[in-house]
Amino acid sequence: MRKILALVAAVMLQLPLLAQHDTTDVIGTKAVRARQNPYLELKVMAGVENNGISSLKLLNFIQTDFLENSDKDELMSEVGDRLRFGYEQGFELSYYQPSFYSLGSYVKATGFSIYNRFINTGQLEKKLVELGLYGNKRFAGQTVDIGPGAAELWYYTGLKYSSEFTIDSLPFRFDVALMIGHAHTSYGLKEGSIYTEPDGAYLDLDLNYSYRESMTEGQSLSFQGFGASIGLSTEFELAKDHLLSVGVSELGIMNWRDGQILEADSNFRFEGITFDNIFDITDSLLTYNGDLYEDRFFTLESGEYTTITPFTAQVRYVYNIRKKWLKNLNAEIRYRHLAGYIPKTSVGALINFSDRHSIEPSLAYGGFNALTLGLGYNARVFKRWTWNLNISNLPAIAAPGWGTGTFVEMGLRFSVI
Amino acid sequence: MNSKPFFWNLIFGGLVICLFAFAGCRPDTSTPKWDVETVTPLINSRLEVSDIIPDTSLTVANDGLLSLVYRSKLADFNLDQINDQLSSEFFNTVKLQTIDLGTRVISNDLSLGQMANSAGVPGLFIIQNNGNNAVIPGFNGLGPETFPADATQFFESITLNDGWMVVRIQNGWPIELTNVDYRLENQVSGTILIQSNIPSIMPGAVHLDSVQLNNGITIEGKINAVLQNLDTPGSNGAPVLIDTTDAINISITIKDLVPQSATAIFPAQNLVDETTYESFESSKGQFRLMNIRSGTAYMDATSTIDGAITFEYLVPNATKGSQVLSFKEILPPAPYMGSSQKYAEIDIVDYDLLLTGQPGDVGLYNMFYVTVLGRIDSTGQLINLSLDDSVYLRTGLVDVTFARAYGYLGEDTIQSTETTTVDVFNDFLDGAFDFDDVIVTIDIENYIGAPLDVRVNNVNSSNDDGVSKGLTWTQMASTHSIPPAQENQPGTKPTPGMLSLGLDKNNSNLDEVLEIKPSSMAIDLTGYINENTTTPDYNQFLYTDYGISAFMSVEVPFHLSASGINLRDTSIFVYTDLDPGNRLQGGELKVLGDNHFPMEGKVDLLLFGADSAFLGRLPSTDVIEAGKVNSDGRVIESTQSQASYVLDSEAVKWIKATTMIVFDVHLNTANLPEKVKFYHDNFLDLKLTGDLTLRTGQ
Repeated sequence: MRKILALVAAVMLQLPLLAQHDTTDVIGTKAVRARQNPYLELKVMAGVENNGISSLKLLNFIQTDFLENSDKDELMSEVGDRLRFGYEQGFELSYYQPSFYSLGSYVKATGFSIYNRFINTGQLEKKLVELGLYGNKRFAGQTVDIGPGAAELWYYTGLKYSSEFTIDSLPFRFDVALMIGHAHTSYGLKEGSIYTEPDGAYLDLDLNYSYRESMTEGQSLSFQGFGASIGLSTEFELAKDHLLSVGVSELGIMNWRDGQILEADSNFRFEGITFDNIFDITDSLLTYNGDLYEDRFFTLESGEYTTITPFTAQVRYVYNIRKKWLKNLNAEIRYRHLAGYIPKTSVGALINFSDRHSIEPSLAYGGFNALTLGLGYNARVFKRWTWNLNISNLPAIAAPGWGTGTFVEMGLRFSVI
Repeated sequence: MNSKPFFWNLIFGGLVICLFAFAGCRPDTSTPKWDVETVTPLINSRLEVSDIIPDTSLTVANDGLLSLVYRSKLADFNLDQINDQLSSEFFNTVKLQTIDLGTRVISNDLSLGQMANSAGVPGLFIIQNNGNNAVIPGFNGLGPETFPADATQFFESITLNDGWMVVRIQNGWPIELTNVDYRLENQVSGTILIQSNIPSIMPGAVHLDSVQLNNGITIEGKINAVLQNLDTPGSNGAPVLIDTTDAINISITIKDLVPQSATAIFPAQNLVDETTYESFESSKGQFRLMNIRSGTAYMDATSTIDGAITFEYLVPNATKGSQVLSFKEILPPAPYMGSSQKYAEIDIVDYDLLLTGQPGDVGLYNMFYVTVLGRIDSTGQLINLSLDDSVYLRTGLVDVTFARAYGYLGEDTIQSTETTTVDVFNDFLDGAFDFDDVIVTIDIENYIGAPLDVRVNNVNSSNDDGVSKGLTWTQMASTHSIPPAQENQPGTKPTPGMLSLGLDKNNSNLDEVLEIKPSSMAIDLTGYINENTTTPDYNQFLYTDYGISAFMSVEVPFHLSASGINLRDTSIFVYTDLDPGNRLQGGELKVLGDNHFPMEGKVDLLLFGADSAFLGRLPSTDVIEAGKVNSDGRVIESTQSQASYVLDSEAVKWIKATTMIVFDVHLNTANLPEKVKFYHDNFLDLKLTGDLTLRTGQ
């Protein structure tokens, strides 16, 4: 559990603030078109978002080694009732041959890619964050509700094969991926409360709590789990220039070997245990009087366990305007199966400045953030290179005292032929 | 070739590699540090009187009032009548001259017919008239005739220091024999053993002759009897019945032999046959029976004799059930020019040894007898013996100890001054106190099967500070009689005769003796066995394991005033189990007291580290207040209070190294000298909590 706290802190305090438009490649299939060249593409993305703490404060926290109470107060002043956060870092290197017609026959798209992702997300009640920062002394004599909450950490590498098929001339793109898990931790608190007797004579905990952690080894890319996922998407015209695409990606399961599974669903009075903060509950249970509390308050098992992979589901609408500059308007609803992520709704446009340069501004609400203003930039460089940059929340960079973090994705495509 | 696209391709290609490397790394999760303030329970402890004093030392009255009941052995001593070990050994050396070679007889006949065959004409006449009455004519010069006598079935040769040869000649002929010259000689060496002339042997008469065999004379197994000359006057003209089977019988007896050496067939005989009385020395008792606790019977024999010797060791009056204490060993024949040796032993545990002598003995006590037998069994084989042959035999009982004895124990006086440790007060009553009442009983248990009179001469208590207090008591130096113990099953602990002497505040200064918190008590006691026994009672008994024991039983109702009563309770508290990161920065500890004791107290925390190393003491001036008591001194409501302990930098170091915490509680009566009462439901709950500042990320 301490690791989750550390990662939460890392998310909130340490990582560079980048902005990006969420561009997980869900809808890649377009209407059947003329031959297109295969290409190599690299996508690199990193970023952090939350729903309350500004980038500027996070930057300030980065630069200090020790948080005084005033720092904590400042931090907490920006946290609402609930803190949601997400950090993601990863890359994807792919080769893709788009579909096309050749001499009157349809050639299906085919592609391969390898990707690596590190994801750490969560949603914590404000009181729980306060417990983590201040300890329980300030809550002595009070019953503090600390749930619900959840956090999870994923680190895995996948190898994906992409192709497509058609049903009644409607093309569907599908992906099949095999994944190797390197690390996983999940923490779920459906509900919970803690009461500290004013003199510390006892702690009353009422928790519906689960915790899973894969075995960790020294090598960060070690083989701790194995899984598989699929993706499926399609795009069709609602009317002329009105396109709707739907899809799901990386929906699968991962089996983790040699993990620890802790479950607690009861209330219990602790009269001889220390809780320096609630995040340490697992470590405290396991290291001190673990035998005493096990089975009475929690169950602890060792062994393999299976999780659903952090998949994405998306619906996107595009209205092609085909003006000189304004090429289209679009709207999108996206869901990611990650703790702290709420469905994200966005609207945007595609504006071409020239044959080689275009931008994609967007306005969104949801995800790990609140209201965000995103911007994408696409450029064709030389004959074979295409470059794009997407920032999910531009104010996090342009106005760091207001923006609450961003993801940044950069893509680089090289046309093979 | 267009160099510009190539350049940009190179730049972008490098960028790809850099981005790839960046994005593929797991992020560093190092975080800033901050302090959290946590209030947390650490240890719960309940102190009860029973935590300090074992439940077995506490009694609860009907109203719940606790009393300390303490029983300690003051003295324990045994009579020394049968404490000495017994060893009884026998030594025998058997030489050859004590060996019986027996009496050997060689017999031979000379018939009338034999003689007639070599007597010429008179012989023919005798033969012709066999069966008739006829006058036998006289004739002279008959002989010499040699008759071999074979004794090799008894011996081949014997060289004698002493012995006798007896020659017996019986005239079975019907005529007188005159001028009989005969001799006996060894057949091989020709040595003449005896030579004699007999003037006349009448018909039917017996002539005896003997010679002493000494000076190393050797007798061979084959001897010749030589009839050198025989004359006869015949039947002197009177007819006699002639029967040619009538014979002169010559028998040679050798006896009373003291051999120097011999090659002989020896008869079965005892080499050793000794019965010896052994006594168990006791200056006081007259014992008729003892039970052996441990000991060994053994035999160690060495022989140069060319024959097996059977030894038997027997203590007829030592029995174990129906089994008599004995053992038999066979010493094998010695090799030529060598010796044979045999050692054997047996345990003789739990034998009853009758100490009244042999059957028929009257009035004997403390005595038993032992028989040792050494025997050669006749094997029919020739055995070589010489005067140098010997048997060395050692037998006996070794290291015999006794478990119990029966008989008259005699009169004895036991004087004992013994000091015993009293530990009940040390752990509990560390301060000064004043008991409302103390009851002490001195119990004396007599496990001896004889009447015992005792006198307590002095009782003295001492504490660790060197303070002593003597007991004054109205019964001091008075004589008290204790009946004999009763034996149950032999070998089990007897039922003792009992004497209880009660002491209290009315007949002694007992409270003063105990209020110095003695760590030791000394008792000077004199015991008299059979002091008033006029006639010896042989049904008395004595067990070596059980003698006379004196106990002190103390009953102290917990109605007292006191100061500095020390209670300690130890709790395992491994700080690093709670905080493996050792993140403690400071704060304070609190002891929350819920006091059901009628005394107030102060609590110090003693911190111990690995291997019970003392780290330091956290004192507190805060008082854990006494429970609320009623006018009878009984707690009717508990009181909650707390003591604080600030953790300075030194204390933080101690806490981080702590593996064990001791609550060191000193209780005092709140309103001295008012007395309060401890009841079975009194306790002190102590809860150690931490108001701690911990630094994350360490």
